[in-house]
Amino acid sequence: MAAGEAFSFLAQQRLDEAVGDFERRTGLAASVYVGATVGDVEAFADACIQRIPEHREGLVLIVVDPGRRRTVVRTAGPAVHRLPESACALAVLSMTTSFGVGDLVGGIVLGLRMLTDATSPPPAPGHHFPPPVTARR
Amino acid sequence: MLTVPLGLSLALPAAALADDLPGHAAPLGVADGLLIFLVIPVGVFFVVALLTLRPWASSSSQRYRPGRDWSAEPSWTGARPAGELTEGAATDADGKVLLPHTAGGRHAPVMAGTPHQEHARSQEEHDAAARQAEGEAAPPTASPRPPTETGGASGSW
Repeated sequence: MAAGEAFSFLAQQRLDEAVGDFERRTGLAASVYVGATVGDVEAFADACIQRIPEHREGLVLIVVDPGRRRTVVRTAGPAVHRLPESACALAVLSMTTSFGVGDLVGGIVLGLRMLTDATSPPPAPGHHFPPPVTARR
Repeated sequence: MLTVPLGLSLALPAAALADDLPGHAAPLGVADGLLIFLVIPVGVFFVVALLTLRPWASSSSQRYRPGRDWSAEPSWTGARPAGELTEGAATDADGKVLLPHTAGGRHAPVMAGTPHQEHARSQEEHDAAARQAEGEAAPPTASPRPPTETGGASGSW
């Protein structure tokens, strides 16, 4: 393993399992970015999620910037309707609690589990969601 | 006052008796004593210290400590941005956002275009303003797909 990698092999394996479990149980794609960001972290997450090909089929992106102590959970596509912002905020709260004691991997795994549990089942074919009621942005 | 002579009088016959008992081991030599009471404990101490500190494993991954800088390479798990992010960074169509590449490296994303892109964009804006002032219609531009609706939450620690 090259020096400077973010996670050890076992830690990366835990992350892979958590992401795979989320995708298997919800049918949504998941992406986790851990690293430095420059500028507004939320704008960075927005730019990232639009560039990930799976975002139109439903995607959850977790951005963690350990140096600036900021984390963002972004949903796109059908995931916006299946995963309410309150559940995202609760997952962020749990993750930041773990991050605050230095447990990056544990926090991300915990957040993914909470997001998995909070995701509602996919809608029936032909169902159209009403526009989300949110005052964000 | 009587305890020392009494103790000696009791201990000496007992020691003499112990030497006479069948199967009693010879007294411990200096070399054996050093081995048992000095070399072995010190060896155990160093083995445990080596296993705890593990100098060969310290550089394999970075441990996060809140408040310290994070200098590890950017890490993507699961889905990741599309493929042109391999040159260290990539820009949006209008040069607004540079993203970290996905194949490792220490490049931090930059939320601005290069000076050349900034100049080209400002030139385009200037031309568009001039055309509007002259009453011309703006030239048709390629209509990109609208951005997908997003939601979510953020926090800090």
